[in-house]
Amino acid sequence: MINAEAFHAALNLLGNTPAAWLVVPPGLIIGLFFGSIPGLSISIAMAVFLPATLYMDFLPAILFLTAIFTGGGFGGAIPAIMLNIPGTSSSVATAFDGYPMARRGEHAQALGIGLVASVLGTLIGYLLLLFTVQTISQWVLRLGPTEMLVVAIWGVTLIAVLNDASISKGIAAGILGILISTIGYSDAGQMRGTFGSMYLLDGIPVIPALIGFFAASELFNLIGKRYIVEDSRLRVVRFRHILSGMVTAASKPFQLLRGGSMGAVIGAIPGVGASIANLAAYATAKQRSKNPASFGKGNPSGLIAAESANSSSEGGSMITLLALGLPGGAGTAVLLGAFALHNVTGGPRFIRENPDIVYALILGNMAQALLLLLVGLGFIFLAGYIVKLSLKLMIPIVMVLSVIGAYAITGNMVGPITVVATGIIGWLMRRYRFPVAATVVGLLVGGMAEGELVRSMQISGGNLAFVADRPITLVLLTLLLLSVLPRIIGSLVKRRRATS
Amino acid sequence: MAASTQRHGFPLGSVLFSLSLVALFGYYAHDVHAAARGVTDWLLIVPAAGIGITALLVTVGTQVIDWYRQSDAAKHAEGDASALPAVLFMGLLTLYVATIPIIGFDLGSLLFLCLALYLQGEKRWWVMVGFSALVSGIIVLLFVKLLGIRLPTLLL
Repeated sequence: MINAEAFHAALNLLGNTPAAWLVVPPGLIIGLFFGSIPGLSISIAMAVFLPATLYMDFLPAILFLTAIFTGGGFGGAIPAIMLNIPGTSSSVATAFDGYPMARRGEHAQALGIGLVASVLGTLIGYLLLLFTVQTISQWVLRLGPTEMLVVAIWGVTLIAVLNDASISKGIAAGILGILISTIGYSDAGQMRGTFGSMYLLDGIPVIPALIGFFAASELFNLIGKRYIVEDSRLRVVRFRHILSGMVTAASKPFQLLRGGSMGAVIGAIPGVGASIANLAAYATAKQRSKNPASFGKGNPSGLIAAESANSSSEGGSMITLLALGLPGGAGTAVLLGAFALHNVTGGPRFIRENPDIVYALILGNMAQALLLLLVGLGFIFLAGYIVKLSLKLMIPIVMVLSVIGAYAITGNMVGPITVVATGIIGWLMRRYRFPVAATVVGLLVGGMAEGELVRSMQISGGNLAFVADRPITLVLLTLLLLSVLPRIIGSLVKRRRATS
Repeated sequence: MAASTQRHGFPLGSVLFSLSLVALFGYYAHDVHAAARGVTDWLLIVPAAGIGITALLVTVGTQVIDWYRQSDAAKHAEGDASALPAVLFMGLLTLYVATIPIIGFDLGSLLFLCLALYLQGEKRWWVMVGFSALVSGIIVLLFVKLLGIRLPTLLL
C-alpha cells in the first residue's frame, strides 16, 4: 500500500525544502480570492500564476499551484452560499442548500460548514490517494467509452430527476443543457447551430453560460429586494456562528466520509471531476436522507455532501494526473503544464521512478488542507460581510463583475452576450419552474457524453449486445436505474393519487 | 374559502415557453440531421432532442389537464411575482452589453450602474454618479492593471 522508504524520503524532502511551505499561504489566498469572484475560475488563477513558478523548484512550484487549487475549491463556495452564484462549476450543488441557509440568516454557519467540509474533504481525497495511488492507476485504465458515457448520463439524470420540479421538466432542462453544449464545431468537424456566426464556432462558452444561468437569472429575481437577508437581526456575521457551523460539519463524520469518498472516486475519472462529483454526492445525500424534501431548502447535509465531494475530487484528479499523466479537468491541465515547464512527465513511470516526490506532493497537499482551515477562516470572516451590503448596490456590481469576468474568459463579446442570453433563459426557466441546475449539468457533460457515445458506436459497430460484455458498464447502468427509479415510481403514484 | 373556489387561470406563459423549447429542439435536430454526413454527426443530438420534445409535451399535457381539472398543481405552473422590474433590468443589461463595443467597459459600466440604481428607486443624482464612477473605475482598473486583461475602454 505505502512504500515506507519513499514515505520517509518524502518527509525529509518536505522538511528540507522551506520554499515549499512559503509559497502555500499566498497560493491559498490567491485561490480563495479568484474562487470567490464569480467569473474568475480556479483554472484562470492557476494559468495566470503558472509563469510565476518558472524559477521555482518542481516541488514548491506544484505545491504553489495546488494551493491555488485547494483555496479556489473552497473560495467558490463563498459566492455560492452568499449570492447563489457558484464561483466555480464545482460549487453548483453548494448553492442548493448554502444559499437558502444564507437567505434565512445562517450564512455564517453555512460558511463554517463549507470550510470544514472542504478541509476534511481535501484530507480524505489525499488520504485515499496516499493509500491507493498504485492500485487505482491500473483500475482507471479499465474505464472505456461506454462506462464514461453511463457516468455522464448518470450525472444529468440524477439532477434532472431528483429535483423539486416535475420529472418531465427536469429531463427537458437536462436535454436543453446537452443540446446547448453541442453548438459549434463537433469533434468530427461538423458545424452545428452557429447561425453562420464565427463567434459560435467554438461553441457556447461554459463558464459565462453558468454565470448567466445561475447568477444573472437570480439577480433578475432579486430586483426590488433590499437585502439578501431581509431581517436586519439576521444580517450579523459572528465568529461563534461560523464556529457553530464548523462544529455541525465535524459532527457528521459519516456524511463527510461518504461525500469525500465519492468525490475522490469520481474525481479520478478524467473529464468528470469536481463538477460532477459535487452533484452526484449531493444527489446521494438527498436520496439517503430521512427528510429529502428539506434538501434545497437549507439542509446542512446537502452542503456537507457538496463541499466534501468537490474538495476531495482534487485528490482524485491528482490520481489520474500522477498515475496516467491525464488531466481530469482544467485545473489539473494547468498542473500538467507546470510538469512540462519543469521537464517532468506524469504517468506510471513518474510514480515508479519518483515515489518520494509523489508522496511529498500528497503530504504537502494534506498540510495545505489544514492551513486552509486558518487562512479560510480569516477570509470568510471578511467575505461574510457581503450580506450586510444593500442589494440595490450589490446587484449592479455583481452584474458588471460577471459581464467583465465573462469577457475576460472568452476575450471577446461572446462571453457577455452568453451571460445575457442564458440569464434570460434561466429567468424564464425559474419562472416556469424548470430546474436550472439540470441544464447546467447537461451543459457541463454534454461534450463528453457525445464523444464517448461516438467512440462506443465506433468500437461496437452499432451492436447494442456489446454492452453485455462490459461488466463495469452493466454495474453502472444498474446503479443509475436503482438511483432514479424510486423517485419516478413515487412521482407516478403521487400523481395518480392526486388525480383519483 | 373564497380562494379555494376561485378558478386558476390558464398557464399560458408556461405552455408557450414549453412549446417554444419544443420548436427549438425540433428545429435544431432537423438542422443537424439535414447537414449530417453520417450517423455520428447526429447520434446524440437527434435522440436527445426527441426525448426532450417528449418530456416537454408531457409537461404541456400535464399542465393543461391540471388546469382543466383545476387541481392544486395548476396554481404552481405560473410564477407569482410581477415580471416588470426583472424585464426592465434584462432590457438594461442587454443595452449595456450591446453598447460595450462602442463606448467601452468604463463608460458603459458607469452608465449601466447609474441606470440600474435609478431603476431600483435611487433618485439622488450625486449618489448615482459618485457610486457608479467609483465602482466602474475600480473594477475596470482591477481587470486591466492588476490582472492584465485587455478590455475595450473609452476613457481609462
